Amino acid sequence: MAASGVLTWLILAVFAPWLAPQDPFLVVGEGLVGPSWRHPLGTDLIGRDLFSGVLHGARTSATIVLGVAVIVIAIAFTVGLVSGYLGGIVDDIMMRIAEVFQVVPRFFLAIVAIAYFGSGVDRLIIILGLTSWSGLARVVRAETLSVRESAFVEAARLFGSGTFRTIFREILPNITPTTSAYLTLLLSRVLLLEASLAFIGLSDPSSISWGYLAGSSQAYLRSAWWIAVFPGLAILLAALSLTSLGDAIGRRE
Amino acid sequence: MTKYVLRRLIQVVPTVLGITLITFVLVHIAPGDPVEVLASGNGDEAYYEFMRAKYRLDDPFLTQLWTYVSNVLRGDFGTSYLTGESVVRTIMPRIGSTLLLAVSSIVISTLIGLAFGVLAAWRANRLLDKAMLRISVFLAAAPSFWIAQVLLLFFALRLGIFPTDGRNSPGFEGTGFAKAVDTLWHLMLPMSVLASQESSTIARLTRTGIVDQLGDDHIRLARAKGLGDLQVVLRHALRRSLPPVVTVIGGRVGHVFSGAVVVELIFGWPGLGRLILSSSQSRDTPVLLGVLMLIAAAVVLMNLLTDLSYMLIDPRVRLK
Repeated sequence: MAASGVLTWLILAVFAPWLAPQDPFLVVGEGLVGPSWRHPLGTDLIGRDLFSGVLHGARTSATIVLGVAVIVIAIAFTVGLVSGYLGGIVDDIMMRIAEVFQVVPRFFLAIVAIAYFGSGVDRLIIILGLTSWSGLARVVRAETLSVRESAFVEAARLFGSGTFRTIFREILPNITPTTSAYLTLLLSRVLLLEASLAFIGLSDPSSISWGYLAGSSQAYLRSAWWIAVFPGLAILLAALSLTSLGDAIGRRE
Repeated sequence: MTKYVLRRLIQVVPTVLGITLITFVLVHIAPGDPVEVLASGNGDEAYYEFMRAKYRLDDPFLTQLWTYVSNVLRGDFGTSYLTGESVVRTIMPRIGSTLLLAVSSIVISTLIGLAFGVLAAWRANRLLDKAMLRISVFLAAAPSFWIAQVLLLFFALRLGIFPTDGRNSPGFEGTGFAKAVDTLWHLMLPMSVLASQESSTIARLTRTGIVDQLGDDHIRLARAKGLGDLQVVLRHALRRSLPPVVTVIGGRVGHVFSGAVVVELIFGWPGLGRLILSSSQSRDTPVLLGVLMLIAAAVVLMNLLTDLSYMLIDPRVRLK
């Protein structure tokens, strides 16, 4: 049940080109026409179909969120597992580094990076991924610490399980629920961050995103409320789908 | 205690320097020549030479960094590439606006958040509590620009009870009290956007903190003395649930500043957020670095203040 929202989003993302009635970049009617049967969510300034734009936006946001997830998982789990399992000076150094990343103002750093390096889905994923992992790393570390001392880990070690094997076979499976609950919440924040960046004009010009669509509405708020309302609503629903999935995973625990 | 405060104050410096360094490196490894971007490709070779020499852009990276940092320590933040005006002069007039927006939304959201948190804890698991949980989940998932535009559409464009943009009405010439009222009127919508999201976070935390304590012995004693539910919550549970709430408020300052960028853009609020956007688009590096450093310092200082207020609320911290 809880996963249905995220699932819908992913299905829309994969099949957007077939589900969308129009090419989102194509001028298909008059500009700034309100919602109608022909254009369920209305058209934008130059007459592109907003419904098709919102469907394609699902694709862009899903790509970015999944891409960021890969980077965040890779860094956070490496740092958290190593830090929590080995402890000592390695732990100290890694946690200090994580702290620095926690204070870095992500949004501003992203603005600077994108303004100076140009915008693109790839660069967005990298900058958001590199600045978003620290919280998760701390959760992974804390969970690792609490599992490390348990009897089954002790037993595995007694039976000759090496560090690598113990981490992957004993610790990782036991910290997955809590950490994935945290991860989904983190991804919902990444989604909102990406949307804000696109809103202020820092999105990839070659792919349509929800934030970009909402941002383009600002100049025509007086005459075209639908361009402001619907893309934002899509972001809201996507973020809600992630948080409710996270809640469900957390409650199962 | 003075020692502790001093040590924490000294820690502020490397953090702010670190953030400056990251930005500095980022800006320098970026492709493209700032001078060419400034002239939008229209200048000639002599002009580029002149500009590069003027801003010493051909110096090695470390020399540039050293010059910059030592100038900053002397209070010189350089001049804007774009206007030639000093960075301090460019930033100064905008600080007040952003500060007004940020501080007012933090204060209001703290008051509202605490009040709603107490209400929710008092009525824990009843209708009011559940309704408030729904609302806060909704607010946390909504993009701030969406809330801003929906409020703008409804309250400014539809009902016309608030202005659409700016800090004062166009051509407004009043001073003193009249001007303050006019500013407040313009502030209401942008402030509400930032405050709505912050207050829902604070309310949830307050509620959880209080509810967690309701089973404790000191609460049972208070009840045994015959205090009513609301009195127990207000006089006994609230105080002890404050420290985590204060931490979160301090930690959210960065979030408020980020939110301010979007909100300032939508409501035409003349603050630092819009300056960051325009200076990063025009690659006006000195201005950009100056604003970022200011924000980093504000965020880190707020964290410090949070820790210090912690000591006032929770005497146990003082002993450590």
